[in-house]
Amino acid sequence: MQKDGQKIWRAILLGIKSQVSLSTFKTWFEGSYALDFRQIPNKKLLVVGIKNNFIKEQIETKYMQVISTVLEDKGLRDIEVEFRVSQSLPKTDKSAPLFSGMPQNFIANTKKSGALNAGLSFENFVVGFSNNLAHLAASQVAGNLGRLYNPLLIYGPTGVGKTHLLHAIGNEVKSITVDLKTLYVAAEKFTNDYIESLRNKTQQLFRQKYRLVDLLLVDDVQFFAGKESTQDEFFNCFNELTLSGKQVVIVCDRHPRELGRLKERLASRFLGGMVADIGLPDLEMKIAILKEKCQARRVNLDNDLITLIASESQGGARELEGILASTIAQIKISNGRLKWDQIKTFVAKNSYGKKPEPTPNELVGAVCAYFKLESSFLKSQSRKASLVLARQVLMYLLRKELGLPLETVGKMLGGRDHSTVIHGVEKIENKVTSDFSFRDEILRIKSLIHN
Amino acid sequence: MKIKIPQADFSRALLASGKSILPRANLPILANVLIKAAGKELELLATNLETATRVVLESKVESGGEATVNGKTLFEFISQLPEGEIIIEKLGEELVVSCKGYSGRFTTMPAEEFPAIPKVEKGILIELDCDSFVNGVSRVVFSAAQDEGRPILTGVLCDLAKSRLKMVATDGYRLSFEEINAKGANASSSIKFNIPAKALGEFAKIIIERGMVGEEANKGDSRNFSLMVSEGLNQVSFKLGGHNGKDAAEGPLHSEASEPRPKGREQVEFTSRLIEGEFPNWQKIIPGSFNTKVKIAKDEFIKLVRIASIFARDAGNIVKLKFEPSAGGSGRGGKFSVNAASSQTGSSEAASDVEIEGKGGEMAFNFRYLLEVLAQVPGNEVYFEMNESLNPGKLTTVDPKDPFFHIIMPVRLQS
Repeated sequence: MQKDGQKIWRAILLGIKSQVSLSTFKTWFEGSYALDFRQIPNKKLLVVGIKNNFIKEQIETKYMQVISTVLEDKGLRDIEVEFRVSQSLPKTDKSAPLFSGMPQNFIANTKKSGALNAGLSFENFVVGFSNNLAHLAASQVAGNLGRLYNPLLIYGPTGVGKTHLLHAIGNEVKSITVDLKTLYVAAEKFTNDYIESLRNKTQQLFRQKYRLVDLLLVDDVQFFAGKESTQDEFFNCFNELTLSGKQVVIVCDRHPRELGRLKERLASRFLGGMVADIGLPDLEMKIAILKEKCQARRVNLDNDLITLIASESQGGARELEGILASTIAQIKISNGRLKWDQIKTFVAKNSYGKKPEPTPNELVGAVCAYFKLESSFLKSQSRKASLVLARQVLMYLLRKELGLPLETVGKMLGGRDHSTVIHGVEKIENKVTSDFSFRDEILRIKSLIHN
Repeated sequence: MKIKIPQADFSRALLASGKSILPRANLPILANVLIKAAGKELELLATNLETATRVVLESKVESGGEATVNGKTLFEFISQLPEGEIIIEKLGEELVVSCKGYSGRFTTMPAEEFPAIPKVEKGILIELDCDSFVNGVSRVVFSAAQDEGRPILTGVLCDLAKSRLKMVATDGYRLSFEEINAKGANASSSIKFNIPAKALGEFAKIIIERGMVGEEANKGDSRNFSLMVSEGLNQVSFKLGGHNGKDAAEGPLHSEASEPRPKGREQVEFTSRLIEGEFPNWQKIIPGSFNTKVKIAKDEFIKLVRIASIFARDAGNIVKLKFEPSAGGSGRGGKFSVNAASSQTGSSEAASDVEIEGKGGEMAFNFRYLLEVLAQVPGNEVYFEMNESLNPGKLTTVDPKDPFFHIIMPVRLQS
């Protein structure tokens, strides 16, 4: 019965929305929901919960007429609508400790980090051969929450519009419904929230946040790789949502099977619904994307220039946007007196084509520079602790960055056995996952290599 | 519509309406104030959908009518005008405000668009004394939570029983308690309600702006206002002046000499939504006994904390309080020091002689919490009580009859 009530109230809201201005609608009707729907003598009574008395008074004095016309239009004359103040507080509010003993932050956080970006919609998403499946699936999901494809997994390389689709689903759902709870979260945020909840003993609040939603949008799930207990928590959360018919959409930068260090049961859950991949755009699509972006920026670029940028760029939409932005800026600075050749070199400079892979020697040099060692020490037999660490880091990097065979790596480091190399790589791998500061060190070495 | 009214009265009334204006709302009319003139009265109405303020003023109404204009602009304009009578007139779609040498024209919006304000007609009615209410509110509201994460804690719990009104506010890190007398027909009934701290603070300001607190105001008869909690426990209405607070309304009329009081008969009605839900069981966190009690001169305390705060700003706002009883252990005498240390800027230690009973100890606090509560404690001296360094501390006044107390949670230090 209550579900019917919800449906009817939503229909009434849509009717009201078409009759009043958007700001009026938002002020008075946003956040209202059906509390009860039951049969009374001769009529059906729909009880609607609203935020406070002020809103109740206004609706009752000024909008009852509108509501009854809407009901008449929809042929629901036998329904009577009643309003009640109900602040729909989360019932488990008490679970958080009243006095936790931790200092409070004084800086008020005004901007919600998990908020949807309203600028990312289906309308401004350029559809082409490489992403039409993902686009279709996403728009279907937005119209049929939890029924069609659940979960929906979108994967593809960086900068091709995965996050755009994710936001578009959220925005679309928000625009067609009033009361559905949508949560957009990056996997990294989920992880941090989880850790925080463990520390503050507020798991209940955490679960409430993630499990009482109608649509959960999770970005960059590749960050779950290697974080076992977070994966468990997400697994449970995921199960609860999908079993109760709530929609889950996840985005990953590669196929979950290739992710490694993602628990098998989680990977198989991810693949249990619809899987859609987005590839890098082809030339025509890149041109279409550039035209869309130009329109959004209200600039008119020459077709030749657009084609030039499209053919120079190797990456996805984000890279295109970057080149476009800097090119436009360059043209503006020079007051439009830029010569064609100059533009060409400028565009070429800005599009980062594939950088050559570093040579093994460059890697050795970077590690030596970082640990302030002579490269001959790395090849020596000495087992001083600092040397051993540097040697293992080098083994790890040679394997992971260049994919050199174990034997070659061993040979480079003074003729070591391949099992020594395996041991070294594993040791660093474990350390990277368990020790955050160590991971930073590795990142710093990597940036040394690439610059 | 045409009215004549003294500038000071109108300006003060607009200031009160400003408490319920929502300047940047989705709905532009919420930034407006509704001006109605009828009979001998001028009525100003404003609402932000959480609270509403209605001010009724006696004025010379030449012709009745209503108009809504932007409340902030109107107030800024009126407050700049010289003292004396001003004329307010609606001409076409504009509201014209003029006095000798000045005039302003304000664009209006249709008065029909102004939202309806819910009235509290039935409920529990009590009367409170302005002075003790304003004092009590200022000692309590700062402890309420600022963020909406836990909506219940953004309010002040009001607990009425046996003609006493308890007020409690907490944000989970500190708690303030105050108790004042309640009068009136329903004062003996038992009822609990939770008023948004912000609304409570705004109403206290409305009282202060009318000069109805302090020594001056309390000469002669005391001033009261009425408070009514709606039957459904979802709205509260305060009435200042007019038929309910009889003394309050008549007082100002007879004492023209005192400057800040309203000259004309004025009535302010302020209503606010109440916060639903159950307030956490706050009694549970208050320690039954303490093993150390220190008497500290308040100004000295503030000074020590201020000095430490210079370094604490770079170290998570944390200052350490240390109480060392004198060697004899006789009770009198002892040293109280406050220190702070930051790895970037340095450290400080400031000490003072105090009276310590008990074994003493160390505790760390966020200095802002200390300063905020110290600013509200009356008198020259305060009592500080503690147990162990991780248990809550308690601040009270030295006056044993003063029910106020403040519980403050220490910060855990790593070392």
